[in-house]
Amino acid sequence: MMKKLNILLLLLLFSGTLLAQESVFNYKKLPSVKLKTVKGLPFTSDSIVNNGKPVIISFWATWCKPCVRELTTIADVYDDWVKETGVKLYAISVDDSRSMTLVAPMVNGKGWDYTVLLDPNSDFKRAMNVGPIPHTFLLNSKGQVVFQHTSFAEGDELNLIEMVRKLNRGEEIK
Amino acid sequence: MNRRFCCFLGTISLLFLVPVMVKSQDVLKGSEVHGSMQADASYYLTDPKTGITDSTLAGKLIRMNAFTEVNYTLGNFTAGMRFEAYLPPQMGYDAEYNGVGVPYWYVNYKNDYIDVTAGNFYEQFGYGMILRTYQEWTLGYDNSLRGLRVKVMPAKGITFKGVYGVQRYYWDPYKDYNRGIVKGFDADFYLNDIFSSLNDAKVKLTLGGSFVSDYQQGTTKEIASGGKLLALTLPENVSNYGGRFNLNIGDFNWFTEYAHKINDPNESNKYIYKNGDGLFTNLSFSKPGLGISLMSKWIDNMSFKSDRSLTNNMLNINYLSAITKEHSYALASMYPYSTQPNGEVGLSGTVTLHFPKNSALGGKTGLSIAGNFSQVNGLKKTQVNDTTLIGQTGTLGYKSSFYGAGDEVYYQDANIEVTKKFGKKWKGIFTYLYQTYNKEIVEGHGSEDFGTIYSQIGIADVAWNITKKHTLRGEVQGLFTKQDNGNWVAGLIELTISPAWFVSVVDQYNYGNDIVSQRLNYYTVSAGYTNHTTRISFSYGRQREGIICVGGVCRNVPATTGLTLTVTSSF
Amino acid sequence: MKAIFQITIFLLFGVMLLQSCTKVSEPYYTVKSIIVDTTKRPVLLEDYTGHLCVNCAPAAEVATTIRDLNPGLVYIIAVHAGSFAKPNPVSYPPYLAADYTCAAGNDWYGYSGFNINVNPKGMVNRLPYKGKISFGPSEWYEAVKVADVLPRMAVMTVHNTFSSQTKQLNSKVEVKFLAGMTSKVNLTVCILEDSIYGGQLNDKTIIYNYRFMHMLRGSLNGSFGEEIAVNPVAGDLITKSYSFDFTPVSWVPGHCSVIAFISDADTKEVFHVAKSGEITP
Repeated sequence: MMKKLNILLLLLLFSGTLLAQESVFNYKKLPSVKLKTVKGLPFTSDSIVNNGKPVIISFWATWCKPCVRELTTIADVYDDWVKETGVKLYAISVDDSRSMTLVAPMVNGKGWDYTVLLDPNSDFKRAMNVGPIPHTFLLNSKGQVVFQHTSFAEGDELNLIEMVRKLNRGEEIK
Repeated sequence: MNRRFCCFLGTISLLFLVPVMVKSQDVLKGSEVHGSMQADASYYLTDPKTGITDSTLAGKLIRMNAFTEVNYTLGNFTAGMRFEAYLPPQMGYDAEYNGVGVPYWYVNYKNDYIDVTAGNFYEQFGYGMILRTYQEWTLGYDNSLRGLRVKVMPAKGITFKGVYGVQRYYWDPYKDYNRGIVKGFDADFYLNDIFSSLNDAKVKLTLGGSFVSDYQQGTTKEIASGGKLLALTLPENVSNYGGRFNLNIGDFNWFTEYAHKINDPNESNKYIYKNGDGLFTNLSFSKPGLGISLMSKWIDNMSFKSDRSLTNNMLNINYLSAITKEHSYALASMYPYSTQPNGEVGLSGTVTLHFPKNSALGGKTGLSIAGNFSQVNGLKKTQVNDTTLIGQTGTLGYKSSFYGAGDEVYYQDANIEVTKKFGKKWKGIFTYLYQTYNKEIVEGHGSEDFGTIYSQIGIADVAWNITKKHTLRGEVQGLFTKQDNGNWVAGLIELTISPAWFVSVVDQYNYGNDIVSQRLNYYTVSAGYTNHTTRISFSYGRQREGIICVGGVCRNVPATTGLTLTVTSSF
Repeated sequence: MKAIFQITIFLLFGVMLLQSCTKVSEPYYTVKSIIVDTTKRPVLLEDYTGHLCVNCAPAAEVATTIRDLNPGLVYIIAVHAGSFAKPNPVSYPPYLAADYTCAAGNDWYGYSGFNINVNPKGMVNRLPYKGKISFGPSEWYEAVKVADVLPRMAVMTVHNTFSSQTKQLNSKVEVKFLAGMTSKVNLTVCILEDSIYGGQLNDKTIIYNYRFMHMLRGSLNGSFGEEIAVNPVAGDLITKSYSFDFTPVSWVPGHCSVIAFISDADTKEVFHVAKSGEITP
């Protein structure tokens, strides 16, 4: 009986957090966490900026198929996106010691033109409360998170760039 | 009323308070509240074909793992906690997780010079061979330290870290030295930032060093071994230390870490007194269109836990990652490798090539090729002296030399993956793998005559963008081996509708099993819905028995049949 | 200046840590001799094992060493259960095809029992030792030393009669409580078989003709026994009889014995254990 009650309470609790999911929860400022560049050099997450243009942050890993699919799909159109909107994509790899040394060769090998950062012990991932990956954030010109999305389906990238355009036009993201 | 239940109620009231707190923003200006949650609930069914009976399920038909984490930031302060519930833990997760509570909480203060955490924390020194605490929800793994961590950045390019605490072991609270007390110190120097004359140098150099000591109470231990009762003298303080560097010159990058552990007799090495050594080195070269990575690793007697008597994979202080490639396709990961902490020598090489659009090989749409080879062997061990057996309890155990590889192959993997677009709407990933898996070593089964499994695996993964928002993806996989359970085929069909829906059907068929009654179909039907960061999915089907590995830690997953509901969200 | 101060503090801290490292020098051990006290509580040592488990033969040796060092005090049950005890597929040589598992062993091993999960692992009187109910072989000796100092709670005898014509075993178990206790007491009666020869994997090799001892064959009264007393007082005497027909099984009666133990129905703690001799007419 106790067990059933616990489960019920938990479900209630979770629905509570789901309902509470409003824009008020989006990050007004990125947490400051130490990352590394693919060259092994220090980088702090609050230096994720783009001269007043929107920023996309995508959490991924070399072993995560949908993540690679997302970044590959965007890579095909990334040049056009940058030219049109000035957007910049930061790809945060959460590969740990096992595969973090494969990140740079893979990014270059795939010809991706993103700024790739390493988060080998998931410190930034934890600070951004990211669960399953891929997980994508969209930041406005002030560096505030205006949109988040988890998982990837082909076509999601169209939605993303549409929101970047809206930001550039000064419209609000709902 | 027990303490756990109070924690539970406390968390619930806190969670309901959170939205209220945030709504009244004027009061807490500049504060932010974020969090995440996940619930995996399963309803299990009996399945005579996989041997799941009422007694296997033992009446616990519904099982759930769930957590909610909340982090609160105000200026330089952050505080957070994670509530976990295993009611009871899902099949394959350690039953000791059964329970609810708050195993993780912390308070942190951070500015440009100092970063102090009290409570639980996750930390990694360098590559992790000396210290790494982390959490992997899908594996049921958490070795967080609870205590104090101080990071100091006294000048640009210099970071010192000190940690002091005890590790998490399921729900078992630390008391009376029931596990070790871990102390650690790490220093990291980025020379180009420290010396202004080097700021713009082409050569970038980072140096680091770590020292970790673990105190476990008790100077003697009585063990029955070889017909005798041995009273072993134990070292109460075991230390593990080493150094690392990262050298970057243009497109080249060279990283190396060395670790040395002093005598640490433990359950894993059968109480031998040999010192431990670990060396990892990686050399990579990459420029647009080409990436090359070469790694090698030597591990000798490096199991390091804050409870030396432990037989399971909890309470690891260090992290010994495998250098073999981590595969995500179902059949490619049927025989996954994990590091053998008692000793191995391995090497791995990866080449990634991209031929851009409108090039000779790239064609109109571009072409990517990735090749990887890795091999891991055991150590070459020799007797300490004529009267001592290799690995004999209460002795130095064995002698080995620097990078001294033995003949026995633990794992080998040669694989190639080709990614190609066909026109605007079709995309394919084609993979071939040849794997050699020493089941005896990795799982502790099998024997030299037949315990090694040689398998060839082929995978075709084709996606068709029907419209801009609709994608149909199919996988065909085959695994061919004469050993173990024989041949397998697998198929998958998945429809995704951006941005919200997916439906998929998967089947794995063990048609080559020598035992006819075991030629089973392992089918799963799943569907899911995503809205922003909330994802709800359910699946129904039969799961094969297998091993899930993430990094150096693996978990045996029993065969199950049932319905699983997964909800994840973050805010 | 501040930086130099902080660096100094941290270096001092580092030096302090360097002190915390114990180097042990040879000899690493001494061999101890043992005195047995027969007023101690007898100990049931369950060795969870499997013929595919490469570390299990050494673990079995640890168990017999502990028994031999404590004459008359330690009773071993070798429970073959878990994935290491599965009969191997027929593609393997047949000497690993034997199935040594039984319902009682599977129940003890699994979710309904003690969640052993891996082999080799053992339990000592089903008492937690250092907070864990099951643990590795290097802990067994010290766990036995903790368990056997507990007071002796009962006297038990197991008396067998066996007819070699009908292959019918009748087993009479007598329990006399020496002390009162406030718990529900279960009695579990099992058959063990010695000297079964078969393949056992060992480090790097197969032992083709491994001699399995005290192998659990099954329970005569259910995996977790049956309740025989609630809050018994000193002097309570309980007698139970069980019968078993050896006709349908291939076990050698002369290699078999009956082991009986009483335990707390809730905490599972074993209070007393007794074993018959080999089953002879």
